[in-house]
Amino acid sequence: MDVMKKLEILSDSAKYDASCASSGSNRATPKGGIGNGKQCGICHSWADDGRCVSLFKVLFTNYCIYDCAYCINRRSNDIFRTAFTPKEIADITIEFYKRNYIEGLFLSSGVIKSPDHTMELLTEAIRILREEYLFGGYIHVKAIPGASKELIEKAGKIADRISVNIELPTKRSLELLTDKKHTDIFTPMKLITEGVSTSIAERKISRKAPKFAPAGQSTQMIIGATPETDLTIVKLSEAMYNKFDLRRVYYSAFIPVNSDLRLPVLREPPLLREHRLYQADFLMRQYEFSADEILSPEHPMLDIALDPKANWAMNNFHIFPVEVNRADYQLLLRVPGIGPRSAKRIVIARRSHSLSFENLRSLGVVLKRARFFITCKGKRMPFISEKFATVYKSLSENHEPGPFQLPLFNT
Amino acid sequence: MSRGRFNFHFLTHEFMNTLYLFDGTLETFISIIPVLWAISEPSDRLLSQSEYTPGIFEKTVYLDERSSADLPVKNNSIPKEVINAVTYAFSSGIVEPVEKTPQYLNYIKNNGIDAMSHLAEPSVSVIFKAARKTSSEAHKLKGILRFRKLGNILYGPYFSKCFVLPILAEHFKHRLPNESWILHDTERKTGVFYNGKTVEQAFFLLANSLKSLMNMKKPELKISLKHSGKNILTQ
Repeated sequence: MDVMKKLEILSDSAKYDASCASSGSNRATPKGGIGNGKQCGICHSWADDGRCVSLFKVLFTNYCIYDCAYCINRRSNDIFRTAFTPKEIADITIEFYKRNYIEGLFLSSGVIKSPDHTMELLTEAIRILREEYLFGGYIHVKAIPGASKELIEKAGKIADRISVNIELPTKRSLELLTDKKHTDIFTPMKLITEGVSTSIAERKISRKAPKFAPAGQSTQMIIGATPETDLTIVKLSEAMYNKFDLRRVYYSAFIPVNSDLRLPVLREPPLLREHRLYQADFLMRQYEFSADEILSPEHPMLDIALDPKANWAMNNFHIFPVEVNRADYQLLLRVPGIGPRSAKRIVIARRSHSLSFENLRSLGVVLKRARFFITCKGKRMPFISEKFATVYKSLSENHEPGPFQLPLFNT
Repeated sequence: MSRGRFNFHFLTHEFMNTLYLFDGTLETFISIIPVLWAISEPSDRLLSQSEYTPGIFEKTVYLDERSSADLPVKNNSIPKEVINAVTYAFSSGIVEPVEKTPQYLNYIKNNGIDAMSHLAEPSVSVIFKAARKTSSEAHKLKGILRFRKLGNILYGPYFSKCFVLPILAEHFKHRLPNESWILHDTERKTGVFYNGKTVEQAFFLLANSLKSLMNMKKPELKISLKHSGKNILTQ
């Protein structure tokens, strides 16, 4: 089969693998401009130093020995199957890279023959890139659950990031929807964590010690295919961040691609819920929130109308307003409309000037949100309501479903 | 001085602000940074000569590459971050940050390097915003600039509002060190040629012929499967 045809099939199959929040974006080339966002699975991700990189996102193969209920590539699906060779993957990556179409490779795969065989092929592809082509760009490779420790270690020494998909939030859900492939997700995760920490320790002693997944590890879980609450999901993410030192947990709204009695029937994928979970995840990683502050057993689901930070602020309305010229960094971080960067800028800028609302705008504060929760030089912004209901209404986003066509034949 | 007449005495040099003029090029701008760092006062301004309109309340001083020759201050005594910030701000193509460069340098000199984050100070805010504009455009172009193969050379035309050619050239010099490539700033009809070793400035006198090439319908990417061959992708 022509490589271009393989590329078309396997990059399309890879679109369900998330490597960043903006994956799946589709942007046409502007008139007279250059570049677009639909280059065979290229999406954005972040390197270990925080750089934004665009990736060649592709599956090695869409053959799979497993039959997971939610997966487009499951064994029982009648779809066109194909596979790259390791050399083909390496060649395409290099040619794309030279043209600056991509900044790295995101390589995932269905499981062909066995986990070990698949992991060998993935490792060989990235080995060719690193050793034969001396490729120094970013590589993110998926570790196949069930693959041997040696192969995962080998891949970790070559790739920048290695990840194992947890797929579903609880073991019970995994047993319900998967083909017993995910009996043990946490063992490879633990292995990668140990590899990363060992490498960091060794490199403190000698800079020549090999790196192991310098961009860390991440994971992905499907949202909405099983009945877990947001509290369960957020707590699981928090536990994984703490225990396995994950860089990211990606949430993927369940998109029904198979008809299976074990799966829920959804009118549309829960994209807004996915978005809220990403916001909650950000609060834990960047804003020093804990899962218990975001959700509670009494309110186990995230408010769809309010983002989690605004929701926290409304639940703690008595703390506000805070004076931006005096509040400490941690308290500033809790104000809706003030992020880590603008909070740092405020702390530095107020050393030389007493800040006004106009100053805050130039510091990057989103006053549209922050204005309800702050004072400058002891004064609130003019014409700002202090009433809870008015503030709630101003902050809430309108997500009422729009008009839609009624079905003719369904009741 | 007789009574009833306006006293112009206060308009002596000690009380007048200084307006520095230069030729408007990046090279001259970089060369006069040490001069401005050494002598500028809080209300001084800098303008490109083409922007200059004569006024009576400022004394004008013309600066060029030779102005810094006798200065005790050299570039390396100015923090690198400050030089980067004003150079990036200059590259944004906006007049205001250039005008406020003397004020900015004076403020940073008097308040230390941390003052670069005093965004409530107008001159710092203006330079910060303009520098950010340049760096974010350079960041975007690092991602969306596309090369196409012209024989053995990779040719990358691009359009930018800010002058980001030096930033891109440095980036691709590290990214594609063994390739030969051309970066073509189509807006300013200038570019650089990298021959695998050094970067050389290239002025596109043949801009028209390159333009016709650029306007050509984008060729479809064809892939021929040759595992033993060097190139499997050809345009």
